[in-house]
Amino acid sequence: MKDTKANAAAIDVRDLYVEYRTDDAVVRAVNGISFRLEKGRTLGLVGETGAGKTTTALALMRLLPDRVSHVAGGEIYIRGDDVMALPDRTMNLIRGEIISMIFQDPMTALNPIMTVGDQIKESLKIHNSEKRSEREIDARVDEVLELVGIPAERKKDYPLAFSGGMKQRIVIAIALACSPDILIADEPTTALDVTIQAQVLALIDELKQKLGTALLMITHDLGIVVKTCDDVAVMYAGQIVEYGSVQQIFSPGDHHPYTEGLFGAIPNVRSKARRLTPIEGLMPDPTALPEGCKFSPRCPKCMEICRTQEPAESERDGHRLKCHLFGGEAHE
Amino acid sequence: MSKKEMPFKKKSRGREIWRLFRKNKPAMIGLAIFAVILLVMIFADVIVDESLCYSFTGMPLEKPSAEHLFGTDNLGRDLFARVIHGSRVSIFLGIAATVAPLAIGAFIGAVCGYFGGWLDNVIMRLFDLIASIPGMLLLLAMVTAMGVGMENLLWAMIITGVPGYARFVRATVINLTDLEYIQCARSYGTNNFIIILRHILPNALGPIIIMMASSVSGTILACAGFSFLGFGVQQPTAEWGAIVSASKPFMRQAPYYTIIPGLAIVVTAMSINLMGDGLRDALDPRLKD
Repeated sequence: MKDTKANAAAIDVRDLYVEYRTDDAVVRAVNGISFRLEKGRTLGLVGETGAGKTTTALALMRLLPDRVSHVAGGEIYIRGDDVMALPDRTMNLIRGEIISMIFQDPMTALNPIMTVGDQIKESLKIHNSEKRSEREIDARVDEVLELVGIPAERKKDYPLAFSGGMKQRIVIAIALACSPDILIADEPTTALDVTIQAQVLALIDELKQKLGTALLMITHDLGIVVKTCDDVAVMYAGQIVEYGSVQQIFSPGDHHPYTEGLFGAIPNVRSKARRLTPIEGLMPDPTALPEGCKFSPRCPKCMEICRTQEPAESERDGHRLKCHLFGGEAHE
Repeated sequence: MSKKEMPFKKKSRGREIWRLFRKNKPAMIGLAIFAVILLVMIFADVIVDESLCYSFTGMPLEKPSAEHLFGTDNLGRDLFARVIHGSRVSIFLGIAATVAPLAIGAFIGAVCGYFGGWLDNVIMRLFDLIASIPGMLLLLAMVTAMGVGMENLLWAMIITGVPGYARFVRATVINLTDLEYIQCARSYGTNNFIIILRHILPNALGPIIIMMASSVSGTILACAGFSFLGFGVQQPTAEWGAIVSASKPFMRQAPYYTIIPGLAIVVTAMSINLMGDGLRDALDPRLKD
């Protein structure tokens, strides 16, 4: 399987829609996003809380809670395999071995009544295609723990015996146990202290170099993006409003007003401004998204057309923008 | 999870629970009483020969004496032997009628809660139907239909007990299913069966144990009650409820005949209740210091 699909992208998402259904409302969490993540590259998925980043990640893993949510349209390919069409058994084999995920909150991502060693081991036992013996699996558990900087003899401890930063390392160790080709890191540092953040990021970066893993970095921290990513997708209200290489996004030039707003909202040491400029307003209610451009109610550069017509995507050198200011008739 | 690591896990968690349990005086008294009852139950044959339950060794309705510690019943059988040996049937019935429906109910509830969907709906509506009939009435109807006797009583207790346990476990499991660590386990490819068995049920075990501890005494009482009404264990089998039932006509002449087996039921139920309360306090994280 691996050889025939050697040319396929690690992740290829085409026009993905995800909805959450409650009794009285349909929440449109992801509205037609497309992106590709090539092998060995890192893509940053940036946006505010509620932009649909985690939902996208869960859809990729096919882990959306199926009681309330479903993929309403689009296609997802993991290394050329159509995720939506795979049988459950195959999907279970893909999860962990080919694609795995680092969860946002290390405090709740570990089973409180299983030792951390057992939790790492569980993944290794499921994906034991090399027929490793019990002893070899134990050795691998030790190895993975050492890799994330936790002494191997602590594998017999329960999650409650670890600090937040150490738990996050264990969550990372679980995700890495089977050396996956693709790693989704869902805000891996949000729940951590700043000092631990740097350590965890350095760790992820080191592992990426060592293992050649493709990484989807979900974050709302632009500092993390510039440090770790090759490409960036800026998400707003379930859409990718701007996509490009880190250079394209972080250098001056044409940008989506939302991206500019994000940059205005982070402190800059060199800036003379006394205050940050936050983006006015809040993310729109996903049960009742505005017509036209989803960002129009908050956009400082909003035009007449923005309120009625959804902007088309324009592209230049791989830099994609979804805004009436650029491309089309408004561009000239 | 290798077998080698299991004792380690049980010890450390068990020790903490034991420490909290030990601080609870009523629970310890309950434990002590129940331990004595269990010992009596296990060593019943050593204490008094079982054949004495069924042989007519004295005059009818003799008062307690050195020869017959608890006196004799209306047929002249030794009441001491009957009460001691009756503990086996009564306690076994109480525990079996709790554990069996609990195990079945826990499994069904976990599957329903985890998967949801139409299967969950169908099973839960069926259970609603069973639960909408008063439990006592349903039990009586079933025992009458199937024929009286200990085995049928047990079956009836299972059928009426399962819906309640299943619903309880289902509610617990639904809360657990959406937790991140379940999602995390799925994210590395764990299949649903293993998730239920290894991640969900063990985490739901606390409430399940509490539920069990608090219903064993109720079940013992219910079984004794049914035997008393004549729907459960039949004469001449020595069982507390059945003995009390047989004593009914002689209550005035020989009050000890009713009081002693009745007391056995009450003391057993109470000791289990006290233990159950202590266990609940020890397992409930909100009460942990």
